[in-house]
This record gives sequence, structure tokens and C-alpha cells, in this order.
Amino acid sequence: MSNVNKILKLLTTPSLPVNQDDSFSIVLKNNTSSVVKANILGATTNLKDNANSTISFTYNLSGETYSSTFITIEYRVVGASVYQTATLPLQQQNIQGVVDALNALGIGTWFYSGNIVKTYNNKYQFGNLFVSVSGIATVSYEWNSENMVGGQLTVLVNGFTFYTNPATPPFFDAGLINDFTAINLGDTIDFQGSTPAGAIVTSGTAGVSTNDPAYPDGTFAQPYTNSLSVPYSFNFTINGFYTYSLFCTDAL
Amino acid sequence: MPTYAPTITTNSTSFLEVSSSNVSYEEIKNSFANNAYGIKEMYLLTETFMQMQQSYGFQKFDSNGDQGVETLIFPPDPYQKQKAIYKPSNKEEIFFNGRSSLSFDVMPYQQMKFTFYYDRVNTSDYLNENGINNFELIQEWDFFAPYKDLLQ
Repeated sequence: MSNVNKILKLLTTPSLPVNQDDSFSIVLKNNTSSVVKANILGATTNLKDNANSTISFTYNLSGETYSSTFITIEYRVVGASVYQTATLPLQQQNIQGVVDALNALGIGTWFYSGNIVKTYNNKYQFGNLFVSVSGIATVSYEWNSENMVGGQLTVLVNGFTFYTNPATPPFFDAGLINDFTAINLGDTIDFQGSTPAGAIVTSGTAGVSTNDPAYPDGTFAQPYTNSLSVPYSFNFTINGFYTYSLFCTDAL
Repeated sequence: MPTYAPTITTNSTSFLEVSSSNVSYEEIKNSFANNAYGIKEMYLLTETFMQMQQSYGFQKFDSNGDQGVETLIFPPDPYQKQKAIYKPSNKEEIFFNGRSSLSFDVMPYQQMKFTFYYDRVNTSDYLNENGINNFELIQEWDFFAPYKDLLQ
């Protein structure tokens, strides 16, 4: 060690530790012009570790009013073809709340600078960030058999049956699918009926996607009214945190 | 419904570069799979006092799986000119075992160095410190001597 280095070492060593046997060192360098939130030294399975990432994902939330109580983020592991979605509650209605919610996902370390939310990640990819308007979507059904003609109503969420009328349908039955499962953006809802009854589907907004051939553009205006031949089926995708309800009756 | 599409940028260099001189950063992390390091002393070298005085969050999980966060601070002496500091720590409180991590802000274009002085720790350390090690007693009594003779 040269004399200069010895002096430098002394200068940068205010007090020496008692023991210097085993140690490891790491050097960090922020190569950006903004503050970076580091998360380091977890295991290889630590999905929050953002060291040495070369891909950044930034979201410009300028103009966001933060009136929402939930956000939804699309994410997928690198190589996967389909995004998964996670809906996360906002504890604070501001950009810090959005960052806290994203950090609660456990994938990537999220932080913000001004109105920009960002993360660095080479193992996961992130898609759209949805900032919801009024909380989680609600899906409900109502069966009303005034003429007692029989028939059946089944409600499926992502292909799984959550409600089926008994073999002998009651005069009246109603329920909220949210009581059975959480409804998230991207979920598919299928109302199926095998009755001559008509049905009305309403939603809090126009623009609900459906596979109804009467609406080839995939959307219908509200309220949606139809009397399809048996069996009838409405498929649509939850595209917002709105209220979707099916009113099914044989009196139409 | 407000929807925000990400702006995706790929850099040739990493945004936050983490390296080590003797072994790679990945090798250090891999070693946490088989070893737990109780940190008894930390050394931090920064370019600015502002960086030194950031709060450094140490996240860990206890045996119940509950997460705890301990905030580490590196307060420099008011008359100190060097932007380097040693900080003693309790190896039972600050440790790297693969489930703990360190989180903090790195200022723009700043470079910094951490050195962790450690003891390898084990759950059995606690037993040895707080009770009689029966295996050592058995060895002191030469308990296995007859068996050893028989085997020979």
C-alpha cells in the first residue's frame, strides 16, 4: 500500500472496529438523475430486489385526482404471455398511497418522483395501471318467476359456477356474487339461463363487453334488455369498478 | 376509469449498480441460502453527508413470519470531515439470512460502499448460550469410549 493510500485510509477511518475478521462489502452506484429506492441483500427469491436492473417502468400520474380506493396493476414474469392482475387497496388517496399499494404487491420496489411512479425490474414486466373510481365492482342477480314457468339461472365467474337456481326455482331469489368471491378487473361473468324468461342486464356504464351477436362491436348500451331464445347467455368482462346486475323474469 | 400505460425504458447500464470486489453480488445473495450472517459492525462510506444521513430500513421476519422493520441511522460526528462511519450493531438484531433485506434511498449519481463485519450465526447458538450443551458433557465424560472400543 502506498503512503498516499495509507493516509487516505486513515482519513476515511474515524474509528476502527474491534474485530475485522469476516466481512463482505458492496458498492452501490445510482446511475440516474433522480433518487432511487434501493432494496438489496435479500435472498435470490426476494422479488423486491432492484439491484442491477436495466429495465424501467414509469407511470405518469399527472392529473390524477386520487378519488379511488383501489388500484389494479397488470404484471407477468418475463416470458409469460398473459398478464395477471392484482387489485390493491389505497390507504392514502395520493401518489404515496399508490406507491405503498404497489409495494404491497411484493414484486419490485416502487417509488415516485414528482408525479412519476417508477420501478426497475428485469424479472417481471408490468402493464397497465388502473386507478379505480369507486372501489370494487359489484355483480348481483335477481330471479323473479311471476308465472312460475320454471327454468334455471346460473352465474359463472371466470368459468366457475357461483350460483345455480335449485331444480325447482323459487318464486324469488337474489344475491350478490361479491359475497362468494372478489370481483376484479378482467374477470369474466357469465349469466346463463334455460327458461323462456327474459332478462335485463344493467351496468353502471355503457361499454360492457358481451358476446351477444346482436352487438357485434362487443358493447351494449345500458340498460341492456333482451329476450333470447333458450338457452340464453350473457358473457362480459369486468372493465371497471361498476355495478353489474342481472334481472331475470318470466313476466317479460 | 383512469388507465395508465407504462413507459418502458431499457438501459445498457443498470439504473442502480450493485457490485462487490471479491465475489459477485449474486454470489453474496446465494450464500444467504446456507448461511446466516449476524452483523456485529457496519462501515458506510458515502460521497455526501446527505447520503450518509438517510434512514436505512432493515426488514426482517421473525420465526412466526411477522415482518419487522428496524431503522438504522449513521449519524456523523459534527466535527467529522470524512464521509465514512463505523456503526456497531447487535448480531442478533441485524442479520442477513435470506429473509431480511435493506431498503433506502440512493441520491442521484451517488456512489456508496457498505462493509458488513459478521459472525456466522445458528439457532443452536442460543441454546449453547442459555443452557448446558449435553453433547459436550457426554464427550467430556467419554461416554462413547466403550462403544469405540467395541467397534475397534
